[in-house]
Amino acid sequence: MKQLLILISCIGLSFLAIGQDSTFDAGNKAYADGDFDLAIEKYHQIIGTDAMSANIFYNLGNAYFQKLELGKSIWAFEKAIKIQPDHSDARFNLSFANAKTVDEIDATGSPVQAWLKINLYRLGLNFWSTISIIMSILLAVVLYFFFTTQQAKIKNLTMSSGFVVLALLVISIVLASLQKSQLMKVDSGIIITEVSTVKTSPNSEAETAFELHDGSKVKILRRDNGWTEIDVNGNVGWIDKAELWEI
Amino acid sequence: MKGLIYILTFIAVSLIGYGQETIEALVNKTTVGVNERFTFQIVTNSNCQITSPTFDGLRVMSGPNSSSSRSISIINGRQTITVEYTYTYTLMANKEGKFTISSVTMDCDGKKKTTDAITINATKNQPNEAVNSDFYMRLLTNKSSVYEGEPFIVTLKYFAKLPPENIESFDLGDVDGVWRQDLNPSKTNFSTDIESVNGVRYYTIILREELCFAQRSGKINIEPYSTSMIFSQGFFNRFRKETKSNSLEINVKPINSAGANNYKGLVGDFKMSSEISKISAKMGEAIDLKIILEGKGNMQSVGNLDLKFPKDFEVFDPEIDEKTTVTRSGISGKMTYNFVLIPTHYGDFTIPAYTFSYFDLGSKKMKTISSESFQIHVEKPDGVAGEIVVPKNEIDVAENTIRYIHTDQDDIFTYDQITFGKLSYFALLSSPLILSFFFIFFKRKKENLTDEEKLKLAQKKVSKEVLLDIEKAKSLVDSDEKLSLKTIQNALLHFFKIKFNVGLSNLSQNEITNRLKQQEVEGTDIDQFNTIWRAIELGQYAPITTSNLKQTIEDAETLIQNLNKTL
Repeated sequence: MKQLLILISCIGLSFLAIGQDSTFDAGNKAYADGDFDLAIEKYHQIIGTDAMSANIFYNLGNAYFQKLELGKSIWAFEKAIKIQPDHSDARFNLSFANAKTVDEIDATGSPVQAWLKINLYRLGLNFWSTISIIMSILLAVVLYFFFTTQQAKIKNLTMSSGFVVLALLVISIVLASLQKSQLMKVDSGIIITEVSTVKTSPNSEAETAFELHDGSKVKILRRDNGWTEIDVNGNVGWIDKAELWEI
Repeated sequence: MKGLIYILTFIAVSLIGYGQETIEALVNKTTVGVNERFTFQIVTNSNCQITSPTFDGLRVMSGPNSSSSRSISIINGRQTITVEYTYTYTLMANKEGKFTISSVTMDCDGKKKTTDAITINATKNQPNEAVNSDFYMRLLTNKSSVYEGEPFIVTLKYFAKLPPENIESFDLGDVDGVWRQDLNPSKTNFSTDIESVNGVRYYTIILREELCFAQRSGKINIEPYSTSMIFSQGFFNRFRKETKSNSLEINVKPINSAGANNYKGLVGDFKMSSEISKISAKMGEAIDLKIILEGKGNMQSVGNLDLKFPKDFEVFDPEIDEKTTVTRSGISGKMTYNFVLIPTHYGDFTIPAYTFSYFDLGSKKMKTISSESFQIHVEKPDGVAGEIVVPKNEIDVAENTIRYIHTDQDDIFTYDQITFGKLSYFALLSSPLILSFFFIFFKRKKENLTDEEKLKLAQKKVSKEVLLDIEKAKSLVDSDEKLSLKTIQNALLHFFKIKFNVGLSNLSQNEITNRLKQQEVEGTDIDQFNTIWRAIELGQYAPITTSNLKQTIEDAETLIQNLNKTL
């Protein structure tokens, strides 16, 4: 049993990837010196194609904001919040940047999800997956004693604690899976070009349905051959993939 | 009647141009009663030779009676003398029917001029005034077949033997599907002309000329126009006459608008141009855009230009400067659309070209023309935190910039590194539970064994236990000989106790030997047992050499191993 615990903690530790402190520091220094282009470059270098880090995205958003790249800065803040829903500075800067955008977007999600995001997701996916494994071990111990003991007192105690442990196990798995799906799904994006024409079909010759400006958050419905179908306040249209950065 | 002829004659003078020979054949009526007299006149201004007409069975009552008149007029100091010769016949029809007075030819030194033949309709009864139509109106058109949107002229012409004194009222007929425009809306002075129709001279007045455009294809019917006029015959004899014109049918050909782009029914010949005041502006700065449409045709149907401006421009309804004139060949001129654009967001924008198609009447084909399109750059205002006024969200004034970056590095991970939901995670999650059930299963199984099964299990395990005891005895050889011997004895007793399933009290040397014999153990092993047993018993009372003790322990070990195989 002891060996198993060691194994689990080893696996838990493997979540922590090796930090790239030097590049990050170089980016921060460039930002402090006002060289936002270099800062953006450094931050992007760390992120690469799929790395996740709330602080790097937050800093990247700041750098873009200083460069007056409203759309890209909103994208970066959104990314930071997606990774760490309770990143309050990212939330503040996002709302500040959003105030500069032109298009009125109905972005109110369900309050339950917002509450979950801020209060439970903050503990992180790894926390909840570790909790679930610990609960599984506890449940195993409790079950063993429940089925082997002859004493009524112990049986009662293990039964009641078994239910508690089971409930905690289920909750931790549900939370972890919710958080993972929230982290993995890419269902929205930010317009990064100053003005973007939304077409009625995935074709540059098609009629213009409406126009969007940098920083507008849109829902992504589907993707087709370099075009993305989006939904803004119930209005649906196609946009060139390059004009939209997915969150 | 004679008076009328004189008047006609007098008026005829004015028709005759200078130095030009004219000849005209006239009657005072074209529809006459049987035995009614009417006059036929040949009026000419020259002395050329004239062939007599044939009268087709009409009886010549008198004539030709020739008369001549001279008139001298001085206009702008220029004296003009005109001479007019009139040959008058009085004719009568003896019976009903149609009669034709043949044409009259005049030959002036080889130059021949011919009048029209006149048809006389003789009826049994005296015809009434209306039939004789000494007063009527005609609707005329210059084109009876037009394209949709092609201009045509409708003329309302008055014909009368008397000039009217006053036009009292005037009603336009109903027309469906035609756009009409009076060519002379401010006309007050109506000039009188003289025209002869089928040999009868009429005063004609063009009452109205309209420029028309058909707005749909098919047959279009222009309903009769009606007028009411006042005539005076002598000073006291005034009378009112009301009359209606004929109706007019226009055949409108449809336009094939295949291949047209934004065809709004324009027909004619057009040009378009555009001007812009600037192509680079700041937010909120007005930009003037002019689109000029020039041409000729049905310009009245241009309407508004539905130009699609980028949504980031506030666009006011254009001020339209219209400089057009209505002419007989359509509306021509220039329409200038002045748009004022105010950019409300920065960026690069395209003011699209305005494109439309029209039907070119010259080539009878669709033509497409466009205004110019413009690229406009709207500059970003200085500083995002600066002056952009976005009314949507108000930001706390104190917080007028974003918060500073975080310099502490947090965890970097990729999607691949998320263990949750992977097979390894589920394996880790389920392994404690599986292990737990595994243990429970074996524990349960152990508890539920019968005595016999338990014994068998014990018998299986006993040799191992005993060998361990013997090992223990070996370690005690040097330190405590007595304890070592005791341990071996106990080990052996324990071995046989389990193997034979008997109590310890029954395990005397003889008993063990007997049982070994019963179990058909080889004789050497039994002898060995007895040797060991004796050595142990001896050792308990007398000191034993270390070498003997060691030998005994080794023998016991071999014995147990051998017996474990056979028992």
